Amino acid sequence: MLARDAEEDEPRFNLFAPILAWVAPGLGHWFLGHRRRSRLIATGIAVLYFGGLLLGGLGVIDRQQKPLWYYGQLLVGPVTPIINAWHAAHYPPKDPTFSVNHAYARPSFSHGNEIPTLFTTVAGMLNLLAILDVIFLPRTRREALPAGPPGSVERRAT
Amino acid sequence: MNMLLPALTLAYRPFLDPIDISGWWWWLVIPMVFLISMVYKAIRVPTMRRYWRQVVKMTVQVMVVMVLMCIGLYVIVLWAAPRYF
Repeated sequence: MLARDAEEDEPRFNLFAPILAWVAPGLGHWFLGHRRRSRLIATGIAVLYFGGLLLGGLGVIDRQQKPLWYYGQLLVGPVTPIINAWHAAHYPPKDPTFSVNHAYARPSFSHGNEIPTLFTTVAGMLNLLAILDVIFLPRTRREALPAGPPGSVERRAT
Repeated sequence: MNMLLPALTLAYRPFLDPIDISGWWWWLVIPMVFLISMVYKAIRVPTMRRYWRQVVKMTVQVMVVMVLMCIGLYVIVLWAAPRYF
């Protein structure tokens, strides 16, 4: 059975899946049929990334002030340059009265900035793992797998 | 009080205003380690059987090692170094 699985799940080079994995975390695994892994990866990275943004505000992503951290955050996907562009366009506010009525990200300091920056960058590093994983990840062939206990349907070549 | 209510509800803007985590920021290591374990194990495990058990195991392992490192550093910096160096 193991030999058959190995025959079914031949590792091969994927070009499109890593791009999808960068565009949206977990999408590369979803594309290759690893649906459960995809959901878990997407959930974990999204909670880390948006949790960091919730804690520190959108100002946590700042290419000008923290370029090295920004490149780590960039691995999460195009959402990072979009937030950076929005933040660069809206901060600092041109008019002081904007602070009351208009949307701009207030800066955070000390641990209030460091921990959210760490959260968002770690999310990017984890997505890098996911991107590297899908480069040579075989497609799941559900129809080729025998019936087994719940949770054992999806498998991969070792 | 009624007049202050709109101002109070408008005071915090999610994703725009940072949350004050100065007193409890170190507790955030627990959800961070859990989420790292969750993503890492989703990528690394050969099968998804016992996935959550492995996630919890990795989370506990990392936390225990971090606590032991904290104790070790505390002993070296605040106890051993002042006495012997």
